[in-house]
Amino acid sequence: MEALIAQLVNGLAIGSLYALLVTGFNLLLLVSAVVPYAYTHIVVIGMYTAWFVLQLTGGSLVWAVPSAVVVTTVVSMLTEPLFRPLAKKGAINQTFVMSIGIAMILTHVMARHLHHGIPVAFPENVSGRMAAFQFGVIAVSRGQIFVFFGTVVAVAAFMFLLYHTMIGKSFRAIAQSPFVAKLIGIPTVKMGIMSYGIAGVLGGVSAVFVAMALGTAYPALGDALGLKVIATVLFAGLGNLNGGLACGLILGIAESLTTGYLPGMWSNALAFGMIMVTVMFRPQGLFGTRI
Amino acid sequence: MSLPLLNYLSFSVVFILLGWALYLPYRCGQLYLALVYSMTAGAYFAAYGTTALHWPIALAIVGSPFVGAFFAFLPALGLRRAPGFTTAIASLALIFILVTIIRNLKFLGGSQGIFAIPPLDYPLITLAAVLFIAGTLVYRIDHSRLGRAAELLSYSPQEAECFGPNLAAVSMLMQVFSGALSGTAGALYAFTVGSVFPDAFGFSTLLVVFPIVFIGGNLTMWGTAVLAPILWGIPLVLPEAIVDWKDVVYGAILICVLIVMPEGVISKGLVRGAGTWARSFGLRALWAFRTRKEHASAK
Amino acid sequence: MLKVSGLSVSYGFICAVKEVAIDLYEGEFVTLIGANGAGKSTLLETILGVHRADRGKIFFLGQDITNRPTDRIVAQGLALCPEGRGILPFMTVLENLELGAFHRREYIREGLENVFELFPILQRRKRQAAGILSGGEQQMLSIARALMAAPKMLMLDEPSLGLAPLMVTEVFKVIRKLAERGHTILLAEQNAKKALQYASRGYVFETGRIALEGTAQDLLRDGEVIRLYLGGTAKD
Repeated sequence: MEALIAQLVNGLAIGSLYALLVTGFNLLLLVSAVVPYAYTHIVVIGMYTAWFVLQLTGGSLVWAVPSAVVVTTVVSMLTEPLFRPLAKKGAINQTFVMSIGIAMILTHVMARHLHHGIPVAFPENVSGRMAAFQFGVIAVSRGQIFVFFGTVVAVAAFMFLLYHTMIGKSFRAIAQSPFVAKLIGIPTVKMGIMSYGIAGVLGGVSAVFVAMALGTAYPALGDALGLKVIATVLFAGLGNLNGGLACGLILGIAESLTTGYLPGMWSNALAFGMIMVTVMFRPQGLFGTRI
Repeated sequence: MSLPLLNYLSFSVVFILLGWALYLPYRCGQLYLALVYSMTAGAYFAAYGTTALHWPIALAIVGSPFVGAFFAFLPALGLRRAPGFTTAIASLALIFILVTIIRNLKFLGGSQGIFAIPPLDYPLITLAAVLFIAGTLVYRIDHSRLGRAAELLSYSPQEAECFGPNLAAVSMLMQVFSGALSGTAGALYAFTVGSVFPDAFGFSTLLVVFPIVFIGGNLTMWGTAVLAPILWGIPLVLPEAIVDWKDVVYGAILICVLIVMPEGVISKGLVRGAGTWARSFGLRALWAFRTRKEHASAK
Repeated sequence: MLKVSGLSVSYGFICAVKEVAIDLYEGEFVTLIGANGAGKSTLLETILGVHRADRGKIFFLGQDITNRPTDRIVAQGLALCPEGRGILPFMTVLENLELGAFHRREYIREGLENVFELFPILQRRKRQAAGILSGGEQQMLSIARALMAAPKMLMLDEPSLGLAPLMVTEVFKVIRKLAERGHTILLAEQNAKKALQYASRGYVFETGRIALEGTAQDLLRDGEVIRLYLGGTAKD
């Protein structure tokens, strides 16, 4: 029983990570009409950045976190002009292919030139493995708490942006109807660029949390996370923000439970299987698409 | 024939087949990425058949398209109605599921895979035959009612269905053909490399096929056929230092082409133009020949 | 205020607008009448920068706005209520209005007051999703949203579309009120009779060209116009 609760706690932490990644992903999908498969790769680049800065400054989080956010934001915004011609045509399949190309390049850079492709390990104090609370056998680590509440704050801030600021409202307008938004006078191109920026910021924040949760970063992580994120988005419904949040949590918990009870490799396949089945029987996703 | 050259040709054929496998469903607007999935199925079928079951190579080669098609058929039942992009993700997931399953199956070698697969007895003939048969099939499909129906569907499924073609049926067929092509590619791969193991089949193979199809021209089958050998061959002749950047170069080319020439280098226009030119050349030659004859007899 | 000369716009091979020239002076209420598909919407949307003009020029307040980006044109004081209302159905009435003031954020409060005074129904429904409003209310919202940008010129595309006759009259009364307040108005309408009754000048559009122009009075009495657009008899 206690093991189960421990798994659930772990699942919530991981789930909240997926939820945050999915949110950034959905933002780009909704506002810029691209499928940013390379989003998670940019997040991993952010993780590498944080690691390098930690090495350089002797473990200073104060420098590491902002630099991770800055790098992910810059890289994200650099990809905007690449997608623009495709997004204009509405060729969403091709943005996916383009995104895969970008992901290829990023993975290659990470595998060959960042730390020679050897996985990097984040120091103990960052990964927060130490237990903060103990309920009998269940140990809730500092990292898990931080990650969970951190992502809650990040998502809440994002939702605030979306519903109570002019920028957020114009994002929603563009997501609902790019043509009408344009007619009203909303600068759709500028807003598109800004969405890459904000997605980048979310990505940088995610990078910090993933570093805490995983404790390590490696080149293949981009693909590993990317597939899960994109599958979750599909499962929830493309562009469905709230659905994405919920499904991210569900996936996290499901993964955590299966890792506990089934041998490692199977939990991955299980997650994909779950998604495949949903896609075959309910292609619009559990909560419905919004794009 | 030297081994490296043989390998080059074999891999070229493998990638041409994979390229066509990507191309066919894309004709009806579906980004079907389960090539590697069917390829894995075909490869393991051939590998297991010839090593553990001691089948003759020919049997494995003939059987592989059916295996690939079968593996494609099952998910196609669900995927045929899915919107284009959903198909992309789901088909991608298939690769991972299959590879994970295989990794856990001891009789298929688990993570180590299967070794010592015999090479092709008559490599050139086999490759040529496979390519010819596959190419003919693809050409016939492309230029048949099915192919035209597929193209119509790629523009707008709902509208197209009013004219008759059934998206579910067409995309199912395309996916199954795609599976057949990939299965064969997988078998050829197995025989060329001599071993199969789970890690060999992953994302990276897919990522090589993308540039081929999208640069080669996603609207014609010839583009793939021309470009596969080129794109595959270039890294083999470049110096070591640049080869390391192969992935980056492929990625960069893919990105540029998507932005600048979405139809790819070998576009429909080019093929039609080439066809017209060839016909006019033939007509002119014929005319010149005839008039020369007349001149000769007039003298 | 607005000067369009020699404008030609085409969709691929189809020429939707051919060599069109119109003028609007400050405070005028001008209408474009013509059948569906004659090119009126295309013209308005091209003025706003949504479509590319192949040839010709558009001048607004003396500045060349041909093919400039839409958001710049709106910021300069041109607003359009598009055909089909152009509202965001999943956002609230209030949010729709706020977005109208994207380029004039300091003006939001004043704009809202102004707009709610003109359209009290919108104030009552301000927190409801715009999609559940009736056709007439949506049209009001569309106009209100355009007003939030404090435009120097207001363009309306087929505001009477899909509305019951009583509602149409209501909408036109509002437009007249705006004209009386000094707004410059360019109205594209299929309902020629109503449009010519309220406007001061008009242009008749036929397959992309201007077939006729003149004061509203003249057009109402013109035989061709009566025959083609006003239902036949001069007695109407």
